[in-house]
Formats: sequence, C-alpha cells, structure tokens
Amino acid sequence: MSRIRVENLHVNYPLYGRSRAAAGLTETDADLGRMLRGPDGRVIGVRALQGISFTAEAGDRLALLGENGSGKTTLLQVLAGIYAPDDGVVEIDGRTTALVNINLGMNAEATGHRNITLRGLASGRTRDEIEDKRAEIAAFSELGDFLDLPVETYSAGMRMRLSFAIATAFEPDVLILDEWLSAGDAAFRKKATERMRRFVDKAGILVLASHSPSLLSDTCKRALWLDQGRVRAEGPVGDILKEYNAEMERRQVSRDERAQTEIAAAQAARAAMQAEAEERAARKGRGLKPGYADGGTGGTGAEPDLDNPLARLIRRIISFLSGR
Amino acid sequence: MTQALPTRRAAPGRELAGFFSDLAAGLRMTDLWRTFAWDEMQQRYRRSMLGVLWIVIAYAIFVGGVSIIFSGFSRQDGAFFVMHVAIGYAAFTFITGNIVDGCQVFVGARAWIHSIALPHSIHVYRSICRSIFTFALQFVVALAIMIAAGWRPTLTGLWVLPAIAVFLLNAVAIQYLMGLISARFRDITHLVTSITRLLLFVTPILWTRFDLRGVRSTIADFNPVAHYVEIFRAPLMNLDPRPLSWAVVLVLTGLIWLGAIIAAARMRRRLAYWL
Repeated sequence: MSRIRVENLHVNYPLYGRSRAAAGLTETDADLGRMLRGPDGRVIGVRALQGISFTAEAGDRLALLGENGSGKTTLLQVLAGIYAPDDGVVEIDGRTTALVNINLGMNAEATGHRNITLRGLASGRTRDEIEDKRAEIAAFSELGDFLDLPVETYSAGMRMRLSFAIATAFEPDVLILDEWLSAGDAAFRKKATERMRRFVDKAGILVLASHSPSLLSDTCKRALWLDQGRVRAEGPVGDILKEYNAEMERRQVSRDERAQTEIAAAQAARAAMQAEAEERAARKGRGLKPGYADGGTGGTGAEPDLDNPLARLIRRIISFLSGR
Repeated sequence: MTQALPTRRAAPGRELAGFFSDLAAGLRMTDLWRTFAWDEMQQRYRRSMLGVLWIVIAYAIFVGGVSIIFSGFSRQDGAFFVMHVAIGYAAFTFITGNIVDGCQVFVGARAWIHSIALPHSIHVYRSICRSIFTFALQFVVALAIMIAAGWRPTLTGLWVLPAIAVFLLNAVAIQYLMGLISARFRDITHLVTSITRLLLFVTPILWTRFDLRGVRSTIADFNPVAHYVEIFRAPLMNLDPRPLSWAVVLVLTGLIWLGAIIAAARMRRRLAYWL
C-alpha cells in the first residue's frame, strides 16, 4: 500500500559562497524571514521549507501550487530522496519515481535505448524486466528510430516523452512530477494525463507541481498551496485554485506599485549622485565625464561591486597613470 | 527516478549506519555501476579508431621510453629496471588515479545525484570499476614485458593477491572521502592534481630504492605511495615484501577508512546541496 507522510519538514538550502554581502538590499519584508544569515550578516542559506506537514494515501492525486520560489521543487526533491531534511520526518511507502528536472537523469551521449536500460537498472529492475517493457516504452514515447540516436540530439519535448515513458512504464507506487507536461504538445499531454489517471486508479499516489491551472484541475483532486516555504492552504483542487488565483492577482498589483516606487527612488538617487559628481568635477576645474567621476569614498550603494579596497586601489592607479 | 528500496524514511540522525548501508546497497546494484563504467569507457574512446587499445599503447610507450632513458641512471640490471618501471607505474597509476578520480566522483555525477536517489556509493564503485579496467590492461602489458625479460612466476608472487585486496579496500575509502571533501571544497581538486604530479618523481618508479644510500633512502620511506607500490611490486619481482611497507599500508588503510567514516557521518547527507 503506498503512502506518504510528511511531518514538520524543514529544509535549509545552503548557498556556500554563492551569495554576496550585497544580497538582501532588495528583499521584501516577507523574504527577510527566509534568508539565513551568518554572524557577519551575509546570506548563507535560504529557509526553503519551514514546517511542512501533510499525508497522502493510496489513490491520491495531489497538486502542488505556489509562486516561483515557494518551495515546490525543493519539496518534490525531498520526497524523491534527493535532498535530506534538516528536521522533521519524511516517510514513503512504495517505489517512488520522481521526474523533477527534464535534463537530468539521462546520459546525453548514450542512445535512447541505452538510457532505457540505465534508468531501468537505476530503478532496481532486472535486465529481463527492462526488455519486457522496452517495446511499450518505445511505443509510448513515439520516438521510433530516434531511440538509436544519442539523447543529446533530442529536442526538449522528445526527452520529456522518453523520460515520462520510462518513468511510468515501470509502474512506480508513487509518481512525483514537476512542470513536466508543459514541454509536450497537446496530443502527448492528453495521452500522458490519461496514463497518469490510470496509474492513480491502480492505487498509486501522484504528486504534481505545475503552474497550469487546467493541468492541475484535470489531473488532481486535492491541492497543497505552498507559500514562502509553508503550507498556506490545503483542500479540493478547485477551491484552492480559485483562492490562489485571487491572491496572485492581488500580489501582482501591489508588486507593480512597489516596483514603480522603487524604480523612481533608484533613479532619483542616481541623479543626485551624478549631480554631486559633476559639481565636484567642476570644482576641480576639469571636465570629467560624470559617469567616471571618482568620489574616492567608494560605492554609495548603487555600485556595490566597486566598493572594495582592491577596486579602489586599481582606480587610484588608473587615475595616477592618466596623469591626474 | 525510481527509488530502489520500497520503503524509505528520511530523518536526521543515524549517520554512521547510513554510510555503511549506503556502501552495501550500492554494492548490490552491481549491474548498474558496471554499465555506467562501461558506457564511460566507451565514451572516452568514442570515435578513436583504436579505442580502448590506447590504454595499452600509451602504457607500452611510457614504459619503453622511460626504460630507455632512465635505466642509464640506475645501477640495476636492464631487465630488472624495465620490470621495476612496468609493474611500479601500474600500481602507482592505480593508487594516485583513485585519489584524483575521487575528487570528481560526486561532482561528475551531479546530474544523476540531482535526479535519482541512488546510494552515493554507486558512483564510487563505478569510478573504481573503470580504474580496475585500466589497471588490468596495464598489468597485462607489464606481464608481457616481464615474460619477455625472462620472468617466471614464483610462490612469492602470491603476495600480490593480498596487495590487490588492500588496494581495492583503499580505493573505496579514498574515493568516498575525496569525493565528499572536494564536492564541498572545490580547491582540493587542484591541490591534489599538483601534488600527484610531484609524487611520480619522489616514488621509486623511475629510480630504485636500491640506488639510494643513507639519508635519502630513509627520506624515500616517508612517501606513503612508495609503500603501496612496494607491496604490489616486490612479490612480482621475486623479492620478499618489506614488513615496513605492509605495516605502513595497513595503518594508512585504517586511517583512510576512519577519515572516510568521519567525513561520511558529517557530510554525506548534505552532498546533494553542494553539487
């Protein structure tokens, strides 16, 4: 019997030097709580998931909703066993197949057929079981002779068809999909949706993350709305979609307004800086171009890149060499 | 993709047991890492006419060239020197190759680690499998050279079997350890590459231990790789293995495993985040 139980799941996504001290200047209040900071104030990680709990029983079709960066993909990756939780429990009964990234999990230089073998073996199947499914996978993917060519020659849609065909052919108990079907054409999407439904009828569990309302409402019964790494709401997919869309519209409006004011503020600050630089240049009696004005004090926030001792030294040397 | 184990429970804790079950689970998926390794070999030599035969050719060229030039610097007999190089360099390549490959073992498998929850040891075994293949081919070349030089197998030669076992045991721990460390600290790869280059010259391959006297011969004993080479080469050259070499190798093996266990307990869970 397949089952998913997630309890108080926390995941912090570490950045390891990928962030810079300047990051955070544009954070909104909501984002602030998600940044993990080191003792020196640098952003060292992101609280990707903060206390997620839910369960899914056999036959469940669960939709994952949320904005970009809300934690959907991270949650799927934790369910797939790729990322380990920092806290909390993830329990999955049943063989799990996750298709989280279209470009991964294939050996691009190997042929389509070879990849069927590789992924079958990776799924813990024997060579006999793989051979039994090969014809079915070839038929469902509709790739024909392309299966004898390296996967690197495939289009995104073709890769997706192959991945989906392999993943579902081996009949997992739990299927985890992220934004997958968007790469297929309408005909394939229909075929895939049908296959997913049949799969769930066999008492599997489907977890599907997508931005497409029609795909979600066609495929899923229940929905989980993720917001800032937390569960915002859970319920029948139709209700949650309605609530979600209304909220997204509200947010977009307020975001547009904020963006306008921010742009205006940034432009004003820059104009003030230029005016100041021009004034200084005029005082020195030289016709310096405002853009190259050397304040000597380093960045004032608008150009954080140049605000370090090395950059300052280099600028000094350049100005020395140019005879100023 | 698919999880091999039907039931899975992920929660922090029990890191040590996790490492050993990872090693065991990976070992059971023999078919998978053998296939991975074979594909990798083929891709490396794809579209070259002689293909994998290049391993043999490259090795013969190296041994031949070195023997011609460097035997002049050694007081040893010509046939002895050629055998010394032929066996020694194969062992050296295996040991240092595993250290260097280890740095890439997880970084290079990034795409798979990010898409399928496989035991991490799969990637280690795949990498070792490939290095065994190269080692075996090089050993065949060495054997051919030795037979041509008049070598015949003796009972002392059997000491090579425990040496191979110890090599494999080391390879697992070295690759796992280097893989974890260099996934987190990317500078390690560059450091290791530059040290290995030096190691070739301070290991008795191009010169023999018997050519050294006094202090220099003592200093040569401080190079751990020399002892690994020694336990493999000596029996094949009808020399009794030095107890010192075996002792050093066994102690180091223990230390490397200890290092791997500690690193795995602390780092294994976070590996996917570093890639």
